[in-house]
Amino acid sequence: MEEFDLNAIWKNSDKEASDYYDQLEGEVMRMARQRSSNIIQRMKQNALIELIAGIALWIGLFFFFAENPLIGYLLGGGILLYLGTGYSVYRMLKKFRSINTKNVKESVAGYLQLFRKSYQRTKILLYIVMPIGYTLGFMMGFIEAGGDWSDMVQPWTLLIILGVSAVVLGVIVWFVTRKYMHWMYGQYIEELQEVHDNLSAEGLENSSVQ
Amino acid sequence: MEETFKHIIAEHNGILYKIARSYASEKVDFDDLYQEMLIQLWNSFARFQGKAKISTWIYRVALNTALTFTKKKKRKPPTTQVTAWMMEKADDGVAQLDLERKQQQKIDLLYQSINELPKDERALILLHLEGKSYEESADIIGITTNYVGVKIMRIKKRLYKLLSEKGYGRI
Repeated sequence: MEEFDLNAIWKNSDKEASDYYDQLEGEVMRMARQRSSNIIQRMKQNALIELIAGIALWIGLFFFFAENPLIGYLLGGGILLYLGTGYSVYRMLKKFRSINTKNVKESVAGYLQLFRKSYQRTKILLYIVMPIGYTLGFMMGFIEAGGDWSDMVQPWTLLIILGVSAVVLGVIVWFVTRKYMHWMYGQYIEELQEVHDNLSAEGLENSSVQ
Repeated sequence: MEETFKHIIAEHNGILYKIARSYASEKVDFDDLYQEMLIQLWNSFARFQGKAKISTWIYRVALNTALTFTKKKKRKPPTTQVTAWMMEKADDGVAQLDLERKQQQKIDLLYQSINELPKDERALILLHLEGKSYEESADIIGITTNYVGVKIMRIKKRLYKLLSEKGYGRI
């Protein structure tokens, strides 16, 4: 089998290509404006869904606990969290746009580095924020169910509640967060890593991504 | 801007088609990938400043998309192989000449074999088959020219083996 044979066969498939294109010529712009579904776009989409769902949940909680004496903490925490998230999303988008797209390998490496950093940072943030949120929620629920706020602020009661919930919730949150983050983002990052590894195979290229 | 974009795509639709066929083995994935490449090209079209050749820009964006393309999950209907779909299309209407049919079979076998290569190797072999030099391929992918040369030799060997196993020589 000679190489020119393959090249000739390859050239012959141009006919198929133009036949296919003829079918969709009028549709090209409509198709080009559809929503993207590749790895990177899916991650962006997932982040957006989370942001909207989070805001909706926070608004819902605010109305549900409107009469609760701890509502100020909930509101303050929510505002702080979303200001922080908004700023971090803004920085990420800025970095995302500045990724060098000169060639396939560099852009994959750039996306990978950015996503890995954000992924790790978000996981750590969730490990810290979620137990606090749960504990606060637990305390608010206690008051909502008729518990006495003054009983709760007794140092020993508060310490026990916080201690037990920190241990129990810490373990649950660690486990759930890992699974959730992997499902939402980790699996896509792994795919990108695989693509990058294949492009950098055999050690001939120096990888800056780790 | 739209007219220019449409004109560019019409001129270079072969690149998109060949990349989509090399990276998708099922018709439904082929259509998704082709569309995904159009989306990414349209999104980056405004940023294309003409520093590179148009075909080089299309290769970069389209290959980047193909390499990071994931199949949509949980599809219900049974999928059709791209090859089978192409064959059905080819069999429609007037019966083809034997030579044309053989040509079609060879094209399908070539795509089937390319489909079985790892993703990064598919990118390199299709650039090679398109007649791109090692330098151009290295520039598009972002690897060294020497590496392209070494890889192409290996990929071709593997491709020939796959084609032989599929009975390419007997057509």
